[in-house]
Amino acid sequence: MLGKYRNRTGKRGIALAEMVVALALLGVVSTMIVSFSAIAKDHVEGQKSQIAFLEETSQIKQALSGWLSQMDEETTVCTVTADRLSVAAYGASATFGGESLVLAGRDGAVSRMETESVTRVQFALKALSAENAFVKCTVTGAHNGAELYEQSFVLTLQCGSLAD
Amino acid sequence: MKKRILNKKGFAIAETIMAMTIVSLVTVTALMLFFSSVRTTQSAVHKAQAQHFAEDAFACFRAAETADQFSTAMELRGGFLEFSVTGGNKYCFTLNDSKFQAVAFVDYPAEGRASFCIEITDGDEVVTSISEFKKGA
Repeated sequence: MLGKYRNRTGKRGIALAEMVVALALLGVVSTMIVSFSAIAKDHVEGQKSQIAFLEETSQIKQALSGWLSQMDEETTVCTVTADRLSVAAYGASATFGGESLVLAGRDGAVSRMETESVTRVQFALKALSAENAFVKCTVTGAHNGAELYEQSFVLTLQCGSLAD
Repeated sequence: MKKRILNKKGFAIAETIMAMTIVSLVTVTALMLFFSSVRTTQSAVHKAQAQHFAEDAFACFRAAETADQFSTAMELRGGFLEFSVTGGNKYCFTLNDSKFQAVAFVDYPAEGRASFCIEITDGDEVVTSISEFKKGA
């Protein structure tokens, strides 16, 4: 097959220099493709984990709102530590630890929600006035071991306040 | 024989140009597809964040009893770059990351029920909105 090929000088075959140049070009192009696909893969995985984090944050928000709707008093006194939100009057609490959210309801029922991308949920009680407050939840998510994402949301009672 | 070889040299250039054009087209198409998918995903993330913001503004409205308390609640909630109040009841926010514009109307009248509505836009496109809601309704 190579016998049909003639270079500029009319000699048969491919010169070593031409072969080297072609292989070098092929090497450069392959390296570019491989490195680009590695970067693209990292980027896509990062975005996938960010979307998973947002979905889990929505689920946590929904679960906490449902749990809080059991506390239907005009003013509910709640206690907040970094990773625990509790309403002593009802013996209810919401805790995040070990990559799961544990909700203990006022009827004694305990539900657990496992998370994959969420690493921390922190609660903070924010006072608006002497008898008016709400809870700010800050959710942190990680990708490849590094905490990269953070999303906050607030929790309130349907009617009334989460007084300190 | 020499003429044929010279002709072959010219044909090789045309082949090279064609090959380079095809390779460039394929590369550009692949890059465009990749960046378009990145933009779409980023836009979905920003829309989800905007949805969270609108729901939280609504929650702050429910928690507050006065316009000042609503402002305090929103400041404590955060998630925006700029915040301005006009006319005492129109709140404008520029959201973090996405730079979406959020406009909320909050009214706590001395008598009657408090009302709330919010619209978050990206240029001319409405990303999300909560239409008028009256507290206690």
